[in-house]
Amino acid sequence: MGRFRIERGIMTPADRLLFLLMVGAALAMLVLPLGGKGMGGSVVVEGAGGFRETMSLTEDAELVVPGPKGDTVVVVEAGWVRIDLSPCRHHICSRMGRISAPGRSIVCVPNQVVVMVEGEERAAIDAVTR
Amino acid sequence: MNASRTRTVWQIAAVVLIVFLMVMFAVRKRNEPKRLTEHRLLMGTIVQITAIDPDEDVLHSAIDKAFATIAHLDSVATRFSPDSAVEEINSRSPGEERTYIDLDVSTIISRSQAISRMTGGAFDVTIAPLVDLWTFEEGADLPTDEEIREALSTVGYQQIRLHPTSGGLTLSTDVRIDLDGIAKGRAVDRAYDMLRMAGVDAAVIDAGGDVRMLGLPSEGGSWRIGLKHPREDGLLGVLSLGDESVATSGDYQRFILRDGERYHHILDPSTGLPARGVMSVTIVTERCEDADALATAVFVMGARRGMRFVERTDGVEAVIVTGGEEGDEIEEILISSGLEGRFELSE
Repeated sequence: MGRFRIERGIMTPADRLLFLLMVGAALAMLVLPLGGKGMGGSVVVEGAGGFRETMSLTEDAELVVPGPKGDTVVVVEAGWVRIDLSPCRHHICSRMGRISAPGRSIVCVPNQVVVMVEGEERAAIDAVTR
Repeated sequence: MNASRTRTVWQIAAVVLIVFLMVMFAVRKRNEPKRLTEHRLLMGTIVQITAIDPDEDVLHSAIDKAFATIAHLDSVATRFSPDSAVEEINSRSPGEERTYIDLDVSTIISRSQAISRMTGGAFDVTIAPLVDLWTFEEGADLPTDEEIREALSTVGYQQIRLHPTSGGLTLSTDVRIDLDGIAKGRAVDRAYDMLRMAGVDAAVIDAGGDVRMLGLPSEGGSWRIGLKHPREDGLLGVLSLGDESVATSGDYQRFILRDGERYHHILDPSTGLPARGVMSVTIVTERCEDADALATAVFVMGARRGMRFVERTDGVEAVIVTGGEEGDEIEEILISSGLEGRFELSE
């Protein structure tokens, strides 16, 4: 019975299934968006002299960043990051408030500190004018 | 044709089809736009460039050239460096002609004078002596009326004479210039030119909130630019923009509070005092240097006069947030007619 079907059919049911699966996979690669989504939720802190630390936005933490003017304190709290204390004159960085969206940044120019939220996916906002 | 041979033909056809689809996938992946973001500390702020193009080599090369151009402006057009062209101009004797100044600097001065004339002096690069009076440091004294009067005596954009043929300039009295209100925008424009010349498909250049967009992020799409809330951490709203520029001046960037009153860094060149009645002004226009300077000018003009100016000036749009005179609450958000349907208020 089985042998009879093999001889009469062009492909066995298993062949057809494999064929459909392979075409389906190839089409999916062609049609679906490329690249994976980033996990997001991480903060990169850069400072003078090549200082670089990565923090998770999901864990509350405090980081002291040494700089030419003194120590800048970066705080992660409840999914947001902010510059809590800064030795700079005008405190523009600490007045910039807190950020959480990928691509957003806080910078202290005098103390050379950059705090940037990272994420591979295109952020909902391309830039912020301020 | 027997069944076995027919089956073999179908299997070969299936393999050929799958290989074809794989090749198509590889070609598509190769042509898929790539997105590269880099940032550097320049112009007294963080400058971030995001560029989109299928060719990664083009992206790296274009972004490097764009940053090199900004670094040049950083060295000549700011007052942070004692060797800058601006400091060289400020160190000359009154009436002494500078026979040559950096082309970017003379272009900025020329454009700033045009904007000063357009805005009736609400934007003025000869404001440097006033800027130096207001330090905005915790515990520092506010300048006295006498000090402000004295500083005002040297303010006036009409006292700069550019000499287009020699590329030089003359300042008629003891005038000093400060290009910080326009140079950042100019740097963004020069970076834009570099990216466009390199053939980059799309890009966003963001110099501390002075932003210019090249092309579109996707076919038929638009760039989404957030406006900082003047009193809270989040956004006031979002603008949907195309290949254009946006810049904001706000009373929250540099300020000190005295007896409940906010003294901020946006100074009225006619009074020497911080301009009142407005919390922030966002300008949308083609060139970022214009957006940068006009945001300051419209802030100084005040909400009503500023919006009238915007509405009668071709290619200039604005979002003006008023308040701060009594209490610290937003009173109104004024949106120019050209931004209707393009500004979405955050909840």
